[in-house]
Amino acid sequence: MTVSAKALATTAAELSTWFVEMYADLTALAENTEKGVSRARGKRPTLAERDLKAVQPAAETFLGKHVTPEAAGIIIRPGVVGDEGDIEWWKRGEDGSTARVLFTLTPQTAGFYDFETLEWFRNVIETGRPTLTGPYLDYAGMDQYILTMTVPFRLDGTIIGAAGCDIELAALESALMPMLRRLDVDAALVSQHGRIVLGNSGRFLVGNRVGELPTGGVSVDLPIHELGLTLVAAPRERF
Amino acid sequence: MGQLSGVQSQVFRPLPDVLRSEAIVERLTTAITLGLLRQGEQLPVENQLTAMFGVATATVRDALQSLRDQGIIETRRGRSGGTFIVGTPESNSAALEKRLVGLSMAELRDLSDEQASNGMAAVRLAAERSSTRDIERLESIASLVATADSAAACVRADSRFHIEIAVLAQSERLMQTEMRLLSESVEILWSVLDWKADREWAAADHLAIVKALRDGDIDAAQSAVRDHVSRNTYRLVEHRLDAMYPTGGAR
Repeated sequence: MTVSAKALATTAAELSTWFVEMYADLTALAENTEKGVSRARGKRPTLAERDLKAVQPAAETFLGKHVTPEAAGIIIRPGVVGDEGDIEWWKRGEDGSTARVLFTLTPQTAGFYDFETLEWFRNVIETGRPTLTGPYLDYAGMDQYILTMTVPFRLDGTIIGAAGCDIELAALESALMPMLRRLDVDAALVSQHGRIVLGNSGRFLVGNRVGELPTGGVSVDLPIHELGLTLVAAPRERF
Repeated sequence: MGQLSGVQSQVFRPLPDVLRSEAIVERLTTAITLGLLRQGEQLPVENQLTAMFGVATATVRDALQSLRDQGIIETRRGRSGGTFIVGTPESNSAALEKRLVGLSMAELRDLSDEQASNGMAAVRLAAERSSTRDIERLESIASLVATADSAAACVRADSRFHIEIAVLAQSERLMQTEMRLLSESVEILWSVLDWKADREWAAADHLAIVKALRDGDIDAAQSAVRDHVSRNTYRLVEHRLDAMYPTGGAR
């Protein structure tokens, strides 16, 4: 069975729509938070932690609209509301409520979460562009195998952090596998680093490098910001 | 301690709510399923079991009663009395299917990674530590699965081979890890495989590992273990995907 360009384009479009909507709503999360934060700060020249109360309702709106992410919120870079930065991260509870997730942000302490060096934060700060990180094991963070989506968080036009969400791989699978399974070939969603995010067969296991395109294989770039996501497909092969 | 961070809440996550007697039942039925305890074998006496499991006498009694009710053990009185294994735990294909479907792609891959890692470490040590006679013995165990006459027999023969590699590695820890991995996966594997058709290639995979060991080729032995695990994982993943995301016969 050869790879049908039309079927591939349909799946690529479906996947793109899903991601584009997610990033649009993360941008809304950032903008709604900015409005609230700006109002709370008033005429004070510097931001205080108490000004960040707008994060929770904005995160709840986001989590209410999207069932796949397990947590969302805002991360502020060090030096804005304190030397250690601030992570306002809200996790979905079983009863629909949200609970704040706390992280250890003090260097030299056990379980220190050194988020400044992580791709989902650094890339947004450095490039100002939406970023997709993972799949990765978020040690000292959520301690799970996740995907993190982030966009810049601005205040008065300056990027002071990131707005984002975490998605457990198992949840991503439920959301996207039906799209990949409609293809009658082996197919995988592949990250910008060439690692498999999700595959529709035992041939493409999550986290593995996809490597060179197999014979008869094709790769389609997904036009989602500049995330570098691709959809790779190859004639079905049994092992 | 106030609110817990992400990492700390992992430490304090709820303990599995399995009663101790159920844990004993589970331990013994798994051992019988994997072939570690055989039909007709006698169990240690009650106070030995109590000491070994580190539980109260009543807990051991509850566990034994449950196994008796399931027809797995039988207690005979008299001079040649004692508690014996007389039945095989029923493999419940619906429960196995549920366990497989309950594992995400990421979890299946992680399980496969651990199996490959442990198996490759064990086969390396086995290559370094085993004698020619050990490898001859392993060879006879390797092909047992080819003549197994049921899925349950395949589970036992397959387990026997993988445990024997850890035995030849002379590592108690690797053996315990292997047993845990087998108890998590081998029954599910043979419920997915077609035992009549697939026992041949399982045996061929095992013999390829033995051949590499006989040749003293550690790299080849490790590759053979990895390939064997990959093939099994492939079948598990494909089965799970077909069960969870059917594609209307397009595939």
